[in-house]
Amino acid sequence: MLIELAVGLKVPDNVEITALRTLRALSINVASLKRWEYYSFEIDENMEEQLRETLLSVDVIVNANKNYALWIDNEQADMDKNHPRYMGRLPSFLVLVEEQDPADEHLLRIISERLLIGGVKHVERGTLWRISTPEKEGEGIVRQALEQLLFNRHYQKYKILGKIRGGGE
Amino acid sequence: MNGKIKGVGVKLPDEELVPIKEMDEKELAEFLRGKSISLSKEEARLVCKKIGRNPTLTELHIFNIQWSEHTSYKSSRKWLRILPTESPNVILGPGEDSGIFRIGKFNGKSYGLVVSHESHNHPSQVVPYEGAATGVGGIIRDIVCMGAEVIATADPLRFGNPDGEMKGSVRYVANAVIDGIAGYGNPLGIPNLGGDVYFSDSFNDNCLVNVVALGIVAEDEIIHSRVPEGGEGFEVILVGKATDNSGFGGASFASLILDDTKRESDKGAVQVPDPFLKNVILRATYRVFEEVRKANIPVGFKDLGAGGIMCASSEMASSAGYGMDIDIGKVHVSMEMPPFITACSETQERFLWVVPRSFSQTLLRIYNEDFALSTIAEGARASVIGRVIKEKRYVLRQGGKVYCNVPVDEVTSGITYEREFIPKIKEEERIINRKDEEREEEQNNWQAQCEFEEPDDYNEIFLKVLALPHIASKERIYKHYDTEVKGLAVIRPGEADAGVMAVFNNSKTGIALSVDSNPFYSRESPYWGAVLSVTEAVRNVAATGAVPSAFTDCLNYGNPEKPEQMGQFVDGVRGLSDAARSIYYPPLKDKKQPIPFVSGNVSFYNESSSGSAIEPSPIVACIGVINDYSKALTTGFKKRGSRIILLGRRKPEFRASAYFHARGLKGGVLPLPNMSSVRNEVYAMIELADNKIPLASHDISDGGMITALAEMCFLACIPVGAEIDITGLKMRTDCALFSETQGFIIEVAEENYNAAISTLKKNKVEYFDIGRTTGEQAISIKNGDKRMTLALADGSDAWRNGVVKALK
Amino acid sequence: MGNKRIAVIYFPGMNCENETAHAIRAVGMSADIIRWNMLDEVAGHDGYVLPGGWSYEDRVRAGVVAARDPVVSIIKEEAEEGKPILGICNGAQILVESGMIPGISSNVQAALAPNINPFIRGYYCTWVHLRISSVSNAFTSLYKKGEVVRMPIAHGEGRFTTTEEGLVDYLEEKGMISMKYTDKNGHTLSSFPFNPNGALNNIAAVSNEEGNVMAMMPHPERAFYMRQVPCSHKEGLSPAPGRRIFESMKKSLEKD
Repeated sequence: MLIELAVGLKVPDNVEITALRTLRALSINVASLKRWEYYSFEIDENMEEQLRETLLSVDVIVNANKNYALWIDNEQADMDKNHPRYMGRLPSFLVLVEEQDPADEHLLRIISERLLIGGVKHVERGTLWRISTPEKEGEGIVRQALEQLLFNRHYQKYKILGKIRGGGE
Repeated sequence: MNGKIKGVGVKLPDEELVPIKEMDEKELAEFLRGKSISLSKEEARLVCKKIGRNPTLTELHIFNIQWSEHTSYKSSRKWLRILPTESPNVILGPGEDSGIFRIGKFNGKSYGLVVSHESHNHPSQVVPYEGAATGVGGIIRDIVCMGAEVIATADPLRFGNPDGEMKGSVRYVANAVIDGIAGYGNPLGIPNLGGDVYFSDSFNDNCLVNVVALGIVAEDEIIHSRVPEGGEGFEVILVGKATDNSGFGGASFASLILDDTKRESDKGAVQVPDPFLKNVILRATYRVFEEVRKANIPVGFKDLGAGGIMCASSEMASSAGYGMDIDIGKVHVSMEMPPFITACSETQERFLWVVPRSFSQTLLRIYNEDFALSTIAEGARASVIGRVIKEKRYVLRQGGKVYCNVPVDEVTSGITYEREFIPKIKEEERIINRKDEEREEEQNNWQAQCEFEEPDDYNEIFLKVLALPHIASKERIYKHYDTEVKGLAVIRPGEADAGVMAVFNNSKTGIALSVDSNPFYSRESPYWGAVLSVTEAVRNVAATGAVPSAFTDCLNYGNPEKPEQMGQFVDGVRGLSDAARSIYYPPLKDKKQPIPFVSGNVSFYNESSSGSAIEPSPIVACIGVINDYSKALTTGFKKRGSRIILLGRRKPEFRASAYFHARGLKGGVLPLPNMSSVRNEVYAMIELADNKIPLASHDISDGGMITALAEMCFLACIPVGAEIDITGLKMRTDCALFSETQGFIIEVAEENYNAAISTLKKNKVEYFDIGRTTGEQAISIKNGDKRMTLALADGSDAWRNGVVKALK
Repeated sequence: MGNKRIAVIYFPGMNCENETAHAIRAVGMSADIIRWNMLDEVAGHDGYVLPGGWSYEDRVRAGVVAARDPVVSIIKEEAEEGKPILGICNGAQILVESGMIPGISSNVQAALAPNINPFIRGYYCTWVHLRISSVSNAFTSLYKKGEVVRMPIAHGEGRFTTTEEGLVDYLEEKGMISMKYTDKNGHTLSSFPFNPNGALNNIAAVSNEEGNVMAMMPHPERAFYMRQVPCSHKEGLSPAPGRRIFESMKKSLEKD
C-alpha cells in the first residue's frame, strides 16, 4: 500500500518566501503559497501502523527540532493549518512537483540498509505546493505559476492532486 | 544608589526589580528554574552585589548569558593566559573576534592575515545542517568584522562510531553537517582549504564541528570591534536579518549538558542560516569599508553571535571605556518579543556598526537602497538603534521604559572560577621541565614495546589501516565543498599535508593551513595529545615548504565542574603551551621565538547526560607562509626511479595507533616528540623546499610510514610504486612500517640527492635512505633477508572507500 | 576607441564576479561589475558575462528566479543585437532558464537538472577534461576543434537535459555544442567520472545558433593561470586553458 508524508519547516521557509515574491513580481495572482517535502512509501500493508510511527523518527526525513510531519491521508489533520488539505478562506490547489523519475533509491537504501527498517519497498520524493488563488480562474493561475516558475518540464513533471474549496479560516 | 544623576546615571530602571536579595534559597532556586535561567543561586546573588541592587528580569537574563561558560570563559580564562600569544609578526592577538598577523608587503602596503577558530558543537548535534551552517556563518562574520575579506575555511570534524550502536544517528549527523558546511560556505564563495575527520564512540551524541576561517586585510585598514576614540554620541546601527527569537539562550544552551530525553521541538532552538542574505550583506559591507577608508572615518564594527545585540553592543562600549544607550524598539524585528529576547536573541546574519552621525545616512543608503536588503530577506535592513554615551552604563529601553541600566563593565567582565582539577601529567614529565636527551635515553629502552606477535597477513592489516575513516581519502567530503572559488587555490584538500593558496593575483606569496588533533592520543594522555596536535599541525605546514607562523586552537572538552575533566583541559592547555614554546618561528629561531596562538575558542560541556565526556579534543590550526607558492610541495610521487628519504628516527610507538586499532591490541607508548628533532626537521623541510630539492613530501603520522608511502603512491599523477629496504632501521618489519613516530618522507631526484643530504646534515636531521620509486603498482619491502610485497590496487580501493563506507 | 567594456552582472547570491572581472581585464578588456538592480547602467556595454555562484541561493531551482529578474530582458535585447553574452555555471543556468540558450524559440527548451552522480549527491567540485567540439562561436574560436583541456566544475545542478524531440541532434548538427565532458584522451564516455553529472551527450557548454551567446558549466576564470591547475602550480601565471574563452570573446569584438 502507499502512504504519503508531507514534511514542513517549523522555521520560516525561505524557498516558499522567495517563490511567492517572484510570482508577485511576475504579476501571477497567487494569494499564498505553502511548501512541503513530499515522500511516498510503498509499504507492506501489515506493517502500516508501526511504519507510520517508525518513519517519523527517521532523522533524514524528519528532524523534530526543525520539521513537523503529517501523513497526507490523515483525516483529522484537516483541522491543522499546516496540513496540506487544510481549508483556508480562499480556494487552494494541491500540486505535486517531482522529477520525471521520482524514485529515491538513496533514501530507500538508508531506510533498509543503514537503519534496518523492513517493509518499505519503494520511496518517491517530490515537492508539494499548496497554492491558494482568488475565487475565479484559480486553475489557470496555478498552471501559470507552475509553467513560469515552479517546475521545468525538461526534467520535472507535476500533478494537481486536488482542489480544496475556500470558505474556511 | 539614588544619588545625583548625570545623564542616565544610576537611575533605577522602569521595569520591576526581581527581589533576589529577599528570596530564600528554595524560592530562588525555583524562581531561576521557572524562568529558564541557568545561573546558580550564588551567581544570581553575585549579580545583586555587582550592580548594587536587585536586578530587573531583563538584567538577570543578560547576566545569565554573559556569565555562561560559552560567553564568559569563566572556567578557562585563567588557563588560556599561559599560551604564548606574542611575536613580532602579531598585529592583534587573542582578545577581539579574530587574531591578525603580518604576512608581508603587497603593492606597497603591509598586510595581515586574519584568523579565527570556533566551534558549533551542540547546535550541530541537535540540528546538524543548520548548526554546521550557522557555525560557518558565525566565523565568517568574525573575520569580516575586522575589516577583512574572507579567503578560506577549514573544517575539523569529529563524529561518533559509524558502525556502532548509534550508527543511524551518527551517519545522519555526519552527512547533514557536511551538507550544512557546504550549504553555507559554497554560496558565500569561500573556498575550503582543508579539514580532517575522526570517528569515535565518544562523539556518538556529541559531535564536534569546528571551523577555521582566514581573511586578508591591509594593516592600516583594520577595523576594530570597539567604539573608536572620540566616539561619544556616535550612532549604533544594526545591520542584517530581522531579529527573531531564534537560538534564544544559545550561550546558556551550550552550557547545559545535552539531555537526550529533552529533544525539544521548540523552534527557538534552531538558528536559521541564510547564506544568500549574508552574501549580499558582505558585498554591501565591503562597499561601506571602501567609503570608510576613502574618507578616513573612525568606526567600530562587530559581528553578532552568542548574546546577540546585548553582548556585541556592551563589548564594543566597555572595551573602549564608553557606555551604550540602546532603544530596543528601533530594532527591526520579525515578531513581537519581550525586550530581553530582542536584545539577546541569536538571529543570524547580523552586524553592529558604531559610526559618527555624519556617516549614518551613507551607511543606511548602501545597505537599504543600493543593495536593497529588504528585497533579499523579509525585513532585513540597517537601522539606527542607539548611541554611544560617555557614562559607563549599559542602558536598554523600549517604548519609553528602561529595562536595563547597569555598569557596562559588569556586563562584560564576566566571572572567573578557579575550578578544581586533577591533571594526569606529572610536572616533571612536561616538555619544558625535561631535557630532550633524557627522554631519548628512555625511548631507547622501548625496544621491548615490540613484544606482540607479528601479523600473519601483512596485506590484510595494511588494508584495514588504509580503510580507517580518519586515514582514508577524504575526497567524499571535500569534493562537496567549492575549493576553487576565488581562483586562488594552489594546493587543494587531498593533494598535500596542508592546503595552500595564493593571496594576491600578482604576488607569489602563499598561505598554508592545516588542522589537527588525534583524539585517540588525547584519550591516553590529554597532555601529550595536545603536544602532538601542535607538532602534527606544524609538520603538516612544513611538509609543503611553508614557514609555520601562527596557531589557533579550539579546545573541546567535557564538564569543567568535574575535576577529572577539568584536569584534561588544564593538561591540554599546558600541552599546547609547552609545545608551542618549544617550536620556534623559523626566521627567529635564534631568538627562540615561539609560534604564537593568535586566536582561539573553548567549548565545554561536550558531555552527554549519561556523564560520558568526549575524548579531549584540543584542535590546533597552523597557518604558514611560503614566499613562492610555485615551490610548494605536494604528496604524490612525481617520477619513477627517484630516491626516497626518511627524515627522523623511527621508534616502536604504537599506543592508540591505527595499527593497534586494526589488530585489536592495546598498550605500548605514544609517539612522544623530541622537540629539537621536530624543530630541525621543520627547518630542513623549509630549506629543502625553498631550494626546490624534493619532488614530493609527506609527513608521517596516523598509520605510520607505510601509510605515508602508500598515499604518496595513490596521489601520484602517474602509476608508481616503491621499493624500500628498512634493514638500516633495525626494527621488526611491522614495527618499522606502522609505528606512528612523527617524521617526514621526501622524494628526491637522483641528481638532487647530494644536495638533499647536505641540507639534512646541516640541520642535524637524522635520516635514512630507504629506497626508490618504481613503476610497479606495489610497495616491496626488504628487511634483512626477509622480503614482502604490499599490492597497491587493493590498498587504493580500501583507501578511496574508507570514508565513503562510513557515511553511507 | 579604447578597451571593450564588458558588464559582469552580479545577481544577489553570486560569488564569482571578482575573479571573472579579473579574467576579463587580464586579457585587455574592461569590466564593470553591475548589480542586478542597476537597470540604467546595464545596456550599452560591448559584451556581457553572467558569472557563477548561487543567485537567490538556487531557491526553487538554480537560476530560475534570477532568470525572471527584469535585468534579463535587457540582456536579451543586447543578445539580439549580436553582442557576446557568456553565462558561466550559475550564469549558464540563468541563460537556460530564460530560454536564451539554446535560443531556438523563446520558450525554455532545456534544463540544467540536478546531477546524477554515484559518488557525491548534490554539489560536486572537481576538475574535468573537456573536448572543444565547436569553435564557431564567440568564445571558443581560439581553441582547436577536438582539443582536450582541463577546467574545474562546481555545481549540483549541471545535467543538461531536454524533453524536446530532436533538440540534441539539432544542437549536434549545427555545432551548437561547444564543449563535452570526456576522459583525458577526449573520449566522451557516458559513465561517471568521465561524465560527472549525467548530462545528455556529455554536454558541458552550449551556444545559440548565431554563436554570440554561450552557456558553459565549467569555470574558465578558475583555469586562467597554470597556478590554478592541479599539479601545475610550478608554472605560476602562465596561461591555462580557460584564458582563451576570454581572449576569444575579445577577438569576436575586434572583428567588427
